Amino acid sequence: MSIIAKNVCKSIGTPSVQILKDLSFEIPDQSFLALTGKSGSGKSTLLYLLSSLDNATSGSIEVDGINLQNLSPQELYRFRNQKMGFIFQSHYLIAELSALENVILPAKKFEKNKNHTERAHFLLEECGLGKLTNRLPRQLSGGEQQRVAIARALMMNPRYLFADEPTGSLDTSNGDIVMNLIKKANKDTGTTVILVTHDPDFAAQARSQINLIDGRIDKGSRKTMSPS
Amino acid sequence: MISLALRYLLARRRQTLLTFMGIFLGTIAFVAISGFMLGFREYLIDQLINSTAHVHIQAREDFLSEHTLDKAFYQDQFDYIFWDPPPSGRKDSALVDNPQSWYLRLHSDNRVFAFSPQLKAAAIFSNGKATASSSIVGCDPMEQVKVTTIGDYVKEGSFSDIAAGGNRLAIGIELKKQLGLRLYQNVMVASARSTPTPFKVVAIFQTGNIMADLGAYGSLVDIQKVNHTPNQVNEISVKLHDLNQSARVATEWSKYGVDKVESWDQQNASIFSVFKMQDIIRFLSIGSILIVAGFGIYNVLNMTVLQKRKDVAILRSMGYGTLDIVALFFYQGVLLGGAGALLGVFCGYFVSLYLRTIPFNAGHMAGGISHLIISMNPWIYVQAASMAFFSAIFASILPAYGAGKMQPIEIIRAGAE
Ligand SMILES: Nc1ncnc2c1ncn2[C@@H]1O[C@H](COP(=O)(O)OP(=O)(O)OP(=O)(O)O)[C@@H](O)[C@H]1O
Ligand SMILES: [Mg+2]
Repeated sequence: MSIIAKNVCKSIGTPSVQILKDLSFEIPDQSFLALTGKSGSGKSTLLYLLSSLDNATSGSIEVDGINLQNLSPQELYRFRNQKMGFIFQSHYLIAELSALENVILPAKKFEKNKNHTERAHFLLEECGLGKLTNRLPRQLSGGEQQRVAIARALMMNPRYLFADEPTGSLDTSNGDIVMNLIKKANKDTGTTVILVTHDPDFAAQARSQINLIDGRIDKGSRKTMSPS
Repeated sequence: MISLALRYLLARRRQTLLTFMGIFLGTIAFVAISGFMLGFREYLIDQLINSTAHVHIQAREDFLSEHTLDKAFYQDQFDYIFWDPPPSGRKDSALVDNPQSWYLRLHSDNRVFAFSPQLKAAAIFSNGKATASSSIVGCDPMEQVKVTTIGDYVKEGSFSDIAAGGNRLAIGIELKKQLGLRLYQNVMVASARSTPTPFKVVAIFQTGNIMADLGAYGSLVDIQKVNHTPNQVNEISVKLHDLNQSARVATEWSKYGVDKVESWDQQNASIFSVFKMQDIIRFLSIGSILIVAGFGIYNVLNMTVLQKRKDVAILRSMGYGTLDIVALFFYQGVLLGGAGALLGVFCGYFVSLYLRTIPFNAGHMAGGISHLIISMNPWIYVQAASMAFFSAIFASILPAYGAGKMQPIEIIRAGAE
């Protein structure tokens, strides 16, 4: 159980610019990986490829031994739903739904009629939002919003958690809270975390790191990738 | 998805209300205007069916043309015959060719409910110094009341009494007024070929149609006598079991002989073509209201799709598929259209009920109706609801499809910048 990238290249735009250049690496199960690099180095692009939101121009990416590009749309939807969680820099909460409803949303895709309230409550409690479950996103602070987004990402107990600068728009203390929640998920449930971050402190908290320089892996700054 | 769609709608109350109003008012307009147009139409058709039979068998009126008589006089002797003056006029009298054979045929046709042979003639009525020229119909009253509704309009006396023989008459209310007659008084009736004959008034009727109310009915034998055409009729009115077969039956019968056979709707073809015109105008005008309402939905949905790009992106990242996203926006249109159509039909019904109470003086023509006639035909409601609903659905298809096609990656990339 791991993510294996082989000779991944990605070009974007017309005229096409090669953003990722021949990347090969493995992310073992239960890793906590930091993706770092300068702005524009291709971190987000790589994250989207690993999480099947985008397709590589060439090369292959296997998740759990499956090349996600070969799945039918239905199979891909199920894979994403059951095995992947996402956190982005902005929270992407649905403004019309309460914190609780936002957290439940992923569970509604395949299990419409089951009652998911209990788990959602539990997760919100974990994120320190036990009292705010019925608030709408606009009634929450930026940090609280991001914590709701984390609870939502963990709702399906995913094997993989993809986070693209989740602390990017938060102050230090809120950033720390968010970071701790992500670390906790990795430790408690063995969720593989792939975290894109600018912050060297956060990157240092990860157990492995891929540093991108201009679309290539910087060999020098690479930590061990085996699970500790 | 449908609950999320509903949440979206509820969150944008004002916009939702405005788009809803478009569909809602369009539906009400459809119901009310259609009710008004069709109400009057149903009334007219009712009058037509009631006052006339389903199928009329009449003598054919053939007019002579310049060459009608060529063969009769010269066979094929000449290529071309010049007449001076050319022949003109009408062929003989306008009487049904062979009424007896018609009676046999009608008796044996099981589609026929009843038929009534009639002799219609022009007549001059006089009562003392008051005279009126009008028409008189000779018929068997027992059959006539089966074929038409004349029996329902009798105000005084009894229509069937004219069968008792001995020159008895049922007269219309207008004729009664013109002649200053009362029930059981005598009136002199003269045809073009007879000297005045006394008839006794045994019934007075009022149909609401001023022309009909100027006329009179007598027994067939009496009128044949007055007209000097014994055993002859110039019209056979037929009532069928099934009104809708009228045109087909009439066409079939018209092949049997020289007589003119027409159904009630064939006779009134011009009115029906006006109806068709009305329908086109009705659907175009109200259709355009709904098209505008549909555009409202289209615009609002398109805007919503743009506003909710981020929601689409996160839903897709959670594993929701293209169809889920299409449904999310499509349902919004469906909900708007469904609610607008249902409530519109509902309120349209009450608007129609209200319109019915508006006083409306139609004069003599409409036979004493005093209020607007609004049709409550269920078809109107079905049409209104489905037109509204489908315009909403139609308007939602494109925006919803567009939302489904959006790629989450592009939205997220754009959002990250
Ligand atoms: N749609 C696009 N068309 C063309 N170029 C693009 C597009 N999206 C991204 N790029 C380019 O790809 C490169 C990598 O972008 P990416 O978002 O992966 O960088 P990043 O490392 O995440 O940067 P940041 O830290 O600022 O988020 C950048 O140079 C960017 O300009
Ligand atoms: Mg980025």
